[in-house]
Amino acid sequence: MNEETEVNQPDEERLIEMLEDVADDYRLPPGDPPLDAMWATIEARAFPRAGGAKVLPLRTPWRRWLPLAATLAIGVGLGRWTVGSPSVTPPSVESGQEAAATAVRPVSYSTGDHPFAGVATDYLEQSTAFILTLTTEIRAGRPLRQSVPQARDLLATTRLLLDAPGARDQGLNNLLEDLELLLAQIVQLPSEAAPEANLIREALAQREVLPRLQLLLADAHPSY
Amino acid sequence: MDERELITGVLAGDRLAGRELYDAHAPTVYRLVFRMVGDPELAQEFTQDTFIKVFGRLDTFRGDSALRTWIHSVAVSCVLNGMRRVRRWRQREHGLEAVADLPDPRRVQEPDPDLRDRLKQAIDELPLKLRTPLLLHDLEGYSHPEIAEMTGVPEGTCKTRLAGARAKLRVALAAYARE
Repeated sequence: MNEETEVNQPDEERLIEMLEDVADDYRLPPGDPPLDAMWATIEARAFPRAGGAKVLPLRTPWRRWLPLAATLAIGVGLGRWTVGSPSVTPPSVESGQEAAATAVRPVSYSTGDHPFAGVATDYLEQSTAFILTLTTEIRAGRPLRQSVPQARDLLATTRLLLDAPGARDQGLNNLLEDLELLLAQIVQLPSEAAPEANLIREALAQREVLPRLQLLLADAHPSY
Repeated sequence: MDERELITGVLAGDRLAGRELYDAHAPTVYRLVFRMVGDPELAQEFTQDTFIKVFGRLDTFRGDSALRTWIHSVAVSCVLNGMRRVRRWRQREHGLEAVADLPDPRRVQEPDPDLRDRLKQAIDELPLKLRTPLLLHDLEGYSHPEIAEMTGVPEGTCKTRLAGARAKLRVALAAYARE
């Protein structure tokens, strides 16, 4: 280091003053942290479903009442619940054929003596329709951000069902947990989501969510 | 619920308690992690890792330090370990040699309004092992014992690294001043 450089160096005190000056705005995050999106992942991994308390990733005080609301909602017939978006289309014949051609991992699920089965059927139909629509959107290369609100609604309902006392069948629980992870991924999608769409497509294929849903529905609802 | 009740709740598997604990600490953890990595996606990933580990290891928290400090130490550990795995981070790791080509300082008569930006850039260019103690001590206000606990290195090493970081910054700013 030459003499000239040493002369131009700020002394220690001056440097500390400068550091204090930049302390409040050095590398601040560009916006609010994505608390709910991060919580979706944390909750899924840190809190096993069985025996856990029931909390949704919402920051409002009324979330404390949601477990009770879930039980009531299920009691009065959650089957009437709908996604509520005209963009969700029913499963197409083509998609059903594609799904049938996919290797299916059977879900061991008996509907006959399961009080939860009828309640969940409509929800599963809505989930199936949503995923079929999502698959179509991905295949067409369309942005998925319009799917995020529906995914968020489905994610909340999925968690209600997972936390419901009736959801104890292991096969159904596994499917719901896979759905939860998938929906959580979609909820976290940024606005420009082409790479993430590929990840979701892979996740759909690896977890065989759609064929499992359709198999489950066929079992619970023979006319499906 | 107070902090002790939240901890007890989390240990019992209470998601509500977990969410409250998360809400109380996640913003500062995310901010700290972002300042360390400078990347929103990595900050999100490491913040998630932090709380997954916090919830998994909460039974080891003895209350010797503040919960906030303990959680931040988990965050720093997640970042330091995680960054070793993140190849792209290496592209950000420049030596201060990049600062060498700078103009003559004798032309600078008044404090440069861009000096703050240059200081930030110089901090960015510090190696992670020097930037971490600087960030924690000079920008976040942690003490050396706390930093030693967070980073898992002796207190003397923290002080040495902080001194090294400051020395590099002074050199970088001197070089800039030659503009």
